[in-house]
Amino acid sequence: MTEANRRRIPPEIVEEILCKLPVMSLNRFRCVSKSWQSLISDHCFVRKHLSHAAEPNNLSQKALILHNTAGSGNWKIHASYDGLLCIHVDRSVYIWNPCLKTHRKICDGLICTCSFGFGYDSRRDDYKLCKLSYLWRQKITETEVYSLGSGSWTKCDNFPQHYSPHYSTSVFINGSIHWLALGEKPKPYSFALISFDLSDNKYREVPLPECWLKYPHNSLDVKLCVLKGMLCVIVDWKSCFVLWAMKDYNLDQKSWTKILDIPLDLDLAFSVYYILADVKPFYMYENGEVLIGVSSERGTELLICKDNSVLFRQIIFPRQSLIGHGFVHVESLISPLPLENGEQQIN
Amino acid sequence: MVTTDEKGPLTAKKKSVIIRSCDGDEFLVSESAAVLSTSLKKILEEKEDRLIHLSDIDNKTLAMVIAYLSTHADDGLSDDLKRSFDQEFVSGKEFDVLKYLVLATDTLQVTCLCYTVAKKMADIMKNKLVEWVRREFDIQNDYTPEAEAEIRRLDAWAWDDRQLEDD
Repeated sequence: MTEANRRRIPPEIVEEILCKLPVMSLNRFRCVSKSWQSLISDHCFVRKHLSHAAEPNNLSQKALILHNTAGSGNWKIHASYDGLLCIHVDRSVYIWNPCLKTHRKICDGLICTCSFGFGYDSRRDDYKLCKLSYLWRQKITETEVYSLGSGSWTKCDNFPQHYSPHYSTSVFINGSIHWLALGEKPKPYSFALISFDLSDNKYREVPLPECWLKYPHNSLDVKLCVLKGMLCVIVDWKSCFVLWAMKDYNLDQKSWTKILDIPLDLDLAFSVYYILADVKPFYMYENGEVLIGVSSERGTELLICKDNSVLFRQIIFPRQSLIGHGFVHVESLISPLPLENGEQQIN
Repeated sequence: MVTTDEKGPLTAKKKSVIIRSCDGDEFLVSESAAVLSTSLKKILEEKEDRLIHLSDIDNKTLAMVIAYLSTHADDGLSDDLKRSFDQEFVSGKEFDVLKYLVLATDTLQVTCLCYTVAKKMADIMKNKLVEWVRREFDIQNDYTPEAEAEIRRLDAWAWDDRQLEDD
């Protein structure tokens, strides 16, 4: 070893190394020294760590979360974004970072039929929760937005008239929360894709792939998802399922591309079990293969699909149906707590 | 001593550069490989000199960096092959060796190698004890015992792992 090599590793390289560590290790390494503690809590470092964890080929900092809706009490995961989960337990809603083991109660005493979306306003560097509440008497869907940064609610425009948000989960992409919505009068039973922009608080309509508009809604099971940064729609025809992706996000119908068209084998497709099944895409790998969960009375099954074929399939939980509220969760250091509590000041 | 890089004798058409390590050994490197390092590129643009002396990179480390640069400058190799080369390149290397490598990437400014080495260092570190990290990074613990105990208490769950290693 030469003297020249006994140099200390410069801070920018230390940062480069640390941003590739799991959150668990980083929490331990907070007590290496004061400067490491302040680096790990630093806002820029937290963002850099997140962007590394979110890279599509980095699977070690991602987890598939499956939620057993049967017999687990009254709770539901509404959304997962940047390592934060929006969960609903009894009548309360929380934002929770399971890796940091910290949470923040957003609201309680919920009695109405509510739907939630969660996302990030990059313009203000703020995480926001969007709550839609249906008011039966007025027949309108109210919108309120909670900012994690300011800790307060803002009332926004109502959900577009003549549409009501579909029960399925919302997704966040391109600065907006997206819901599938069902048409009421004068367009009964038609589907629409409605987005809510978290920076200007405005609703917009995003066109759906053209070909499916001619089918009556009740023959389909439709879900939204985000795969590899693309807004996707999966339509389950029962004999097959089809996945469309919006390759470049814009408001043009032509940007939808069909990326999967998977015929299901007959014993599965036409069994009574499958009629009640649930299909949900979770993840698209770098090579374009898609991880899909299918749950039916046979159990919870994972499939890896590409183009027209199923490349791999395995039942992971026999006789347990766990797909509906499943998510791919990315590890992050983002604290759901208000800033003054989120930063630990210890000398 | 002049060592040619892995591609063997260079053709007359291809320009090459001689790089000297701090131990005094010289390495003949094609210009296309050398310019993947931002610092070498800058030096080559500034002066005609074909001999570059690196005062803080030893022989062993420099040879590794040059093997990396030559592979990445080879247009005949697919990105997939380069990726698997990268994996092989860091696999099995000791933390100390990686430390010299990462310092060399800092001097030479080779971003993609820095990324690969940093990733491998993170993989080795992730299950290590705090004491191991302080030793390897030559860091003085500047907490009072009470303050350190308080931080450990706050993140007690992160210490629950029974697999932590000290070597």
